[in-house]
Amino acid sequence: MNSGVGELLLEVGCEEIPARFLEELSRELSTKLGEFLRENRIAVGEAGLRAFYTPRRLVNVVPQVAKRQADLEEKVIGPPKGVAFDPHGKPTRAAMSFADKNGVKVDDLTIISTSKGDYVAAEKTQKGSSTEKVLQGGLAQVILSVQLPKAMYWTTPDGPHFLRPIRWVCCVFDGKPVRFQVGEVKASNNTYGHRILQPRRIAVRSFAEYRDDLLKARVLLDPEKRLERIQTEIELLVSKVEAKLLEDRVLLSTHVNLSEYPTPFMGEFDPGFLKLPAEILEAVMRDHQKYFCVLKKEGGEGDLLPRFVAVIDNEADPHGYIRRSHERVLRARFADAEFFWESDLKVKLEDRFTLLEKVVFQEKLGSYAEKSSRIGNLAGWIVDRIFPGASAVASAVNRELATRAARLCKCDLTSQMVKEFPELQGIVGGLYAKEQGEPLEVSRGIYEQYQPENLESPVPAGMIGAVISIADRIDSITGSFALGHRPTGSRDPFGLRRLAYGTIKVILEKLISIDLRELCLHALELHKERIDFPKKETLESVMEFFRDHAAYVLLQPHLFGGPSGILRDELTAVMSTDHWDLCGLSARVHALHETRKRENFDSLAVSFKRIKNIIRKSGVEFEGGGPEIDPSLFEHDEERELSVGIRDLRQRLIDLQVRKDYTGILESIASLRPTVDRFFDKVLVNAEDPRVRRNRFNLLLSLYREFIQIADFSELQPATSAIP
Amino acid sequence: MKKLTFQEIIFELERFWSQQDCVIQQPYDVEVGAGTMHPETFFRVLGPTPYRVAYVQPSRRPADGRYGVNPNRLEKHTQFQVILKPPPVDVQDVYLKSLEKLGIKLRDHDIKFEEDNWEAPTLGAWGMGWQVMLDGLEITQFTYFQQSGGLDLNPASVELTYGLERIAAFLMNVDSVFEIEWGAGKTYAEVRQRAEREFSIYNFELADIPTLYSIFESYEREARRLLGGPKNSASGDETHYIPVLQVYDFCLKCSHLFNVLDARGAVSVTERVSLMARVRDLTCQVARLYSKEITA
Repeated sequence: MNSGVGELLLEVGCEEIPARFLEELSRELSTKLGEFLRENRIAVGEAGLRAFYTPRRLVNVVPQVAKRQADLEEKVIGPPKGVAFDPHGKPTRAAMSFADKNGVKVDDLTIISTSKGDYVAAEKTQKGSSTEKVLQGGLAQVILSVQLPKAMYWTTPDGPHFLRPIRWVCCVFDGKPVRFQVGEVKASNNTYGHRILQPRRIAVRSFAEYRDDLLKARVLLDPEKRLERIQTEIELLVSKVEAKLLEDRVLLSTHVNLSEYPTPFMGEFDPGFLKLPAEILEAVMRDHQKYFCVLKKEGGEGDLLPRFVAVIDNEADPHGYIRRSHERVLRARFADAEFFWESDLKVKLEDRFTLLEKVVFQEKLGSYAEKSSRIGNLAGWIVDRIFPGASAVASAVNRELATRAARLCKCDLTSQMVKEFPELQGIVGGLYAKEQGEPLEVSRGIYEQYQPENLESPVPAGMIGAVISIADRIDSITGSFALGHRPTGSRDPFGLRRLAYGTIKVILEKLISIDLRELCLHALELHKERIDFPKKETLESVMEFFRDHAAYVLLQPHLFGGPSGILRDELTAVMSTDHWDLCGLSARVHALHETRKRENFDSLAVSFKRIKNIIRKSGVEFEGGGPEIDPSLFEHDEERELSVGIRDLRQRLIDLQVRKDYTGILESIASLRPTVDRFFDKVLVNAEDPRVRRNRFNLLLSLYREFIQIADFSELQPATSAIP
Repeated sequence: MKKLTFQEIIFELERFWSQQDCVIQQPYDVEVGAGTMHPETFFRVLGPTPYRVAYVQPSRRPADGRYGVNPNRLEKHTQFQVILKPPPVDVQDVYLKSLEKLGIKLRDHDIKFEEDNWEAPTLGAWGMGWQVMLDGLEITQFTYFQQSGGLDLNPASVELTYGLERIAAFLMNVDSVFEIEWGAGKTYAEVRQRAEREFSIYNFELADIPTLYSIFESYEREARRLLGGPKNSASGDETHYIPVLQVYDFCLKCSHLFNVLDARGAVSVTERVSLMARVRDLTCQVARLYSKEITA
């Protein structure tokens, strides 16, 4: 090992850091430390920097750190050569004073050529100081400069801020303690063992010793090791009783971040509680007690055994005190849940509707009773439009049942169970509806209304749940925009982005072909009955908001099971058309992606661009209605040919549109290419006679209007079409 | 290990904390929802003067009453409250020692400090800290106060709030708080169960909503009158003295009445926000006046 390097160990000892922030905090600290070393020209060996953490310590170890800063070589430019030296090459006063100012000899001055001519330069070397000194001077600031999600102070408001109080700092470089101070804490080479099991002080000389000593003092420094220990031990526990664990990665990482020496154990509860729905038992165990649920080995989801696995911050539980206490706490929690279940069931969901009038959804948007009515209205609107008349899927959703589910969907907010377990809203309502004899579709619709939780999680399995999920979200999004609450930058206090993503995912995955713009307009009209806002502008900003989010989802087809491979410019081209049937959009962009590879496509796109430019440059405003074309003004066959071509195309498109055959549409458009090419070859649009000019212009405009319904082809980047 | 009775737990905690240089105070004689509302916490955390205090505080949560039937829920539970200003650097260890004094051998148990940030909206107070979990049971709220009465605290204080019924049930290994041995051969049920039933009946069934609203408003009016201008001064001279402690008592009265109305189901969500804002406005004014006076 090079004697010019030493090992750096930095441990920040804290009071328990919240589990959910620990990983991020550790990452932040090591980033800051790395930056600090780099900025101070302290070389770090190949081994780099390693970070570890426990709830009570953030640890960084850098095995090879140069003992000295690199020298700083600096070139200072002085006066022009002609000023610094006389014609005989002798230094002038200017050269001498420049050399003097920079602490170099006149003889050592060099000449450098710049674009402005030759200049005198001084090469200075600033000697690097010892790394130890740099660390002493800067580490406190490194620690306190970490960006924290929720900082606090523990001495005075102008004292140090951190996620939780810093109680010790252990810092060793090259075997020796580094002295500095963070707030009132003096850094030393001391660390401490497990708070309860081995609370002794430990002197530290090297990382290897430090890690071993901590292990003896019952601290598993490496989160990977803690994870491994928890997983191995749980495996052992469940295999002994012929069971399996309900997988829960979030809970697992919570426990990794909650203990310095995690040890799982298995507890039991009265099987009598299994008569309660599994969803409720799981919520009590997982959310309130941080327990893992245990399932029958061959069982499916919800096949609970009357057991649980808890993780303690201790080596073992030799007397069983810990297990008995956990079991008692769980028993009390289950007894509460059982009481809520039984007493809630005595009141029909329907009878809770009037209670919803007292539950405020949003001060200006009214109560949950009002929200439920709006959801019902929107759900009906959706059902009427996605399943018009007697289409094949009409039987999939019943309007009456959908509005029934909408009416009841928020009633569980008045139940004691939801007050106690807010994360179970919807689910509890669904369970109560089923228990109280509502039709299965209704109870399932209520149960699934909050799905999907995020872009990765499943959407409602049933159509009623899907429809209510959309209606509810659209009501919240349009309502917030109507009140002027819209997300800006990273700020999204009402979680509207999540709601938008959910809406889009449900629409695409359940293939609910509706005009989203019309739906939002309808939702805004419902809000208009209560509050005042500029409808047109609000609708535009809602749609702009949806456009961004839809683009994000559409570009990641795995999120909704769509076909893969579409390109950004294809999506932009299709989305420029202002069509708001997202399923149609998805189908069209896919068709465009496929058709684009064919031979006629590229030059058609070029022609489209040309047409668009001509129209834009003309500056002529057009009102609605088709542009009038007068065949008597045609001077060339190519004009006539194009006119006929457009007419035929329009005929074909009508049928293809009905069948939503987007590939067929694009192929039909592409087949027009030779006609369009010939037109541009032979015909000058900018004719002398204004009537002829206008007529040709109208011809192009009508073609443009056919194209633009499908995609704005000018958005396509020619180069990408070469990609196979 | 000897098993402590409920009252012995209190004695042990009082003895322990008096050894840590705490003033041992008495419970406040106005209904409060939590030990934090006792003036010995609300006022003492303001300003620069170091202070340590500990006391028992019976705390009323009308909505949590269960007629004395539910084994774990009480209309009035007993908190043991400690304020350490400024917090000693080994505050967590000192706290853990207090548990050992109750006969809890820490090595045999699972102790965790789990994130729990605390807020008392009507006091304009909040802090960051943990719920202390003992074998899966939340036994203490451990908070670094950051603000009270809407004011930044300088220095910070640590507030420890022990839930005595839970700790007692844990130590005695009983499933119901009513089985706790209070002392002198009496159980918790014998001492407290009747009150649980009666207050539940009143809070949930009999409380007259218009009357309570009107009392709330009377107390609020009186508080605002005291906070008003010099014309209210009894002596009529220009220097007007505002008895902030008295104003604060009226805030506590309002706060408790609000809780009863809430338990009665008489408060809508919007009203809740506005009533709490009215009380907070008063407590924040009180805190500002007090703070100005003690730093003047």
